[in-house]
Amino acid sequence: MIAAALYLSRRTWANSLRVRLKRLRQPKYMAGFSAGLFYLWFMFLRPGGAVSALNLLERESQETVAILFLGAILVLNWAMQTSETPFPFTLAETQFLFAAPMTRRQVLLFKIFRSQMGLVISAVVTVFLFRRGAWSLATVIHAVGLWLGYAVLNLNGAGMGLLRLSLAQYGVAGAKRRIGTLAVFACAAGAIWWVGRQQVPVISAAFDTGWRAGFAALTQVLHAGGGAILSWPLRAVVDPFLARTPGELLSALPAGLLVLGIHVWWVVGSSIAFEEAATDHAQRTAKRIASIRAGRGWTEPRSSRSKPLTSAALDLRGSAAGAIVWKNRLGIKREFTIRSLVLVGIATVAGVMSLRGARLSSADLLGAFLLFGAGMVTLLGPLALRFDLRRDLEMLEVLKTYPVRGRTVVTGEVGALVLVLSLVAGGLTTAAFLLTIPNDSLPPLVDRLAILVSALSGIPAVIAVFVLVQNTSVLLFPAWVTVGPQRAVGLEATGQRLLLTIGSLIALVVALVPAAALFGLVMWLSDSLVGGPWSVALGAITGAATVGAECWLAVQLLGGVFDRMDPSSAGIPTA
Amino acid sequence: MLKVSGLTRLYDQLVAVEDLSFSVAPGEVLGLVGPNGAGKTTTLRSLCGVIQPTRGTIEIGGVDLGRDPVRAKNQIAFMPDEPHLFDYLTVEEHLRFTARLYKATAAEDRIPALLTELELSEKASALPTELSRGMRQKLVIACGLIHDPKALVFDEPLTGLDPAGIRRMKQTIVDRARQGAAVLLSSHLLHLVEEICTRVLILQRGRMVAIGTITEILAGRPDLQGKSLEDIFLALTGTT
Repeated sequence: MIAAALYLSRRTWANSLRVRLKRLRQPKYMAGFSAGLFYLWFMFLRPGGAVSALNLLERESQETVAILFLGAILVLNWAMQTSETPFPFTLAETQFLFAAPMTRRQVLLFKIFRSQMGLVISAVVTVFLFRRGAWSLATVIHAVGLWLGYAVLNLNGAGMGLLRLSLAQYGVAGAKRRIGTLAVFACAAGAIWWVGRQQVPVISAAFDTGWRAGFAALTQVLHAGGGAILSWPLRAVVDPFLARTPGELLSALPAGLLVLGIHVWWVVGSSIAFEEAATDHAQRTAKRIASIRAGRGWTEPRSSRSKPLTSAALDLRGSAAGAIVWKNRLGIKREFTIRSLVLVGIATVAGVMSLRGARLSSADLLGAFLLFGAGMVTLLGPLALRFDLRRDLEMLEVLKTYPVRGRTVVTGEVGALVLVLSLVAGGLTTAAFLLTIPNDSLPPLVDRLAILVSALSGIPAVIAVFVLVQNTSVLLFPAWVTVGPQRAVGLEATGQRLLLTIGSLIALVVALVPAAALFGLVMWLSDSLVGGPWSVALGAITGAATVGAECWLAVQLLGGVFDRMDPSSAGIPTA
Repeated sequence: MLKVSGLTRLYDQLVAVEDLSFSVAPGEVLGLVGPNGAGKTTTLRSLCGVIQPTRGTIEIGGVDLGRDPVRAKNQIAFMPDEPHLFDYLTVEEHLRFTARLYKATAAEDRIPALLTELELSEKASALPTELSRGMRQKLVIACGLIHDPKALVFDEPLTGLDPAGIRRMKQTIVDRARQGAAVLLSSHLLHLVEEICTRVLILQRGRMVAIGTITEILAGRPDLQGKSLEDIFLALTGTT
């Protein structure tokens, strides 16, 4: 099995390298490769770069930082993991491995073993780059430590994914199956609460006197008493990475390998429990069918999936662009799960707590956070939400069979995201404005209203430019950007992303320059007529209209690109 | 209804389809057959406007696809072998979305009938991930039929269907042809082609090697008299 995994990995690597080298014959890929090389040299290999901040800390403090970092990644992994299956087998793996004379345990071990090779390469490359290409014994030590961290994170994500799958699909039955895991988590949560109740006030008080004292208190808690016991698994994983000599590595490695071994045991055992649960489910369904046949009636089995969120039916009369907007809006709505709400809630609480020291009223705090949220939605929303051509280009063959012009498709694809993000960001801004109404210490209400009008004009314009830039990248360089779930990898892809980022920034500046010029002109002209904030509002409306006109022009041009696009030569991974 | 003249498609130096000309009249079912790599998929994709021909013209209902793609595409439906669906739209939402794009305002009443015809009524509010492959294939076909197209293009329409589904699918294709649609059907299942196609077009390395009814094809090759379509196909394409 190990030999087969090694062979597959070796051939996969060699063949993908061959394909990438062949691709370099195309100028755009060569440009990307060159840019990627330059980026690597500039960021990592250039002599005289910055020294890692971690190296400046004492050993115990390094451990604290590493533990906190690993803990944060684990929590984020648990919160953000969206994949329904923790073992994303490729179609080929499914066809070859599942049909092969192997037990499920062997298939899983094959997958786990194979993933280690990628992790080892990632660890070596990462350490090599961060040590600026210097090879030494420390490189090997750090690479081993980093691999251990990657492997534990990888397996932890898989184990948590299986747990979530089991609970989501089988409800109470799934929880019974995973009672051991849940009990461990409950005990850990209880212990964290118990230690936290005692130690958080101490740490908080220490931070009030300064961050050095706070950090020292945090380090103390993590290295003594209950905190030390609770943080032991994390410490076991980070210690090999922090080792400075082979001796330190050898003494730290057993504990780390123990944590890794527990994860392997957990994941393999979980998947078997999962299969048993699946078998149980099938048996229960069979019993219910038998019950019907025996005339004892039907007991509706628990649905493994919730029904999709309903939406107003699409009116069959109307524009094609409107239909595409409706489709993507529905996609965004269905993607926005309860977990997203929980994450937003956590972010809100964290944001409000971070402003605790500012001595603001609750309404002001909430208002400030809503404005912060509006800013995040405006600037990051177009990058994070991909319900436009970045997602739908996978369906290019289908889209091209529709009797609609390319400009209509582009309008619909871009429009949905601009509409949804503008509504959210505008809504947050308006809510923040409403919260400030009773506050007399702020500028006059009429001025604040002018600022609101300016913001509501500017938000859709900025979002539209961001979304259009993203979609322009997809249409002009489809092989360079991530279309659908597949992500381009390799040095040329890194370089291409770098070039795309620079190009996007240039496009953003170019789009905003005429708008900014008109904004300034109108503001200057209207200053004597309406004065103050209202001249800003008039300028903002003019600027937004200018951006709107530019976007319309861009959509016409991109529509032509879409019409001429050929799925077979665009390098798009079709569905 | 469907008229292809001098269709040529090149991929760099590779000739996928070369100087292909044929037509499909209303009520006719033309079977497109050929070995792997013969250019069948390229032909179908060109016909539906997915790719642009290097040379040649395609007319759908008298409308040049190159000159007026919107009007031309409005009269045709393409049912690919792999069901590509939007994973966040339900079965019924797919039909409504497609109907709106094709401006099929009268489809409101046709949606329940189509769902029933293709046995999807109970899955109307299901997402594609909750459908079997056969059901997804049926949904693609339902989307293709929602605007009552005058020309239908099927690529391996029976893939993933169960025996009952296969029988109904064949009936659906024949019924649409009887109602006056021009049907182009690409398949490796020669018995299907023999059973429901009125004429056959055999492609080999991008070029047409034969077209017509089986009788017409046999007229040019008396040595193949009495042979099945499979034997004729193997003899004409030089495959064994």
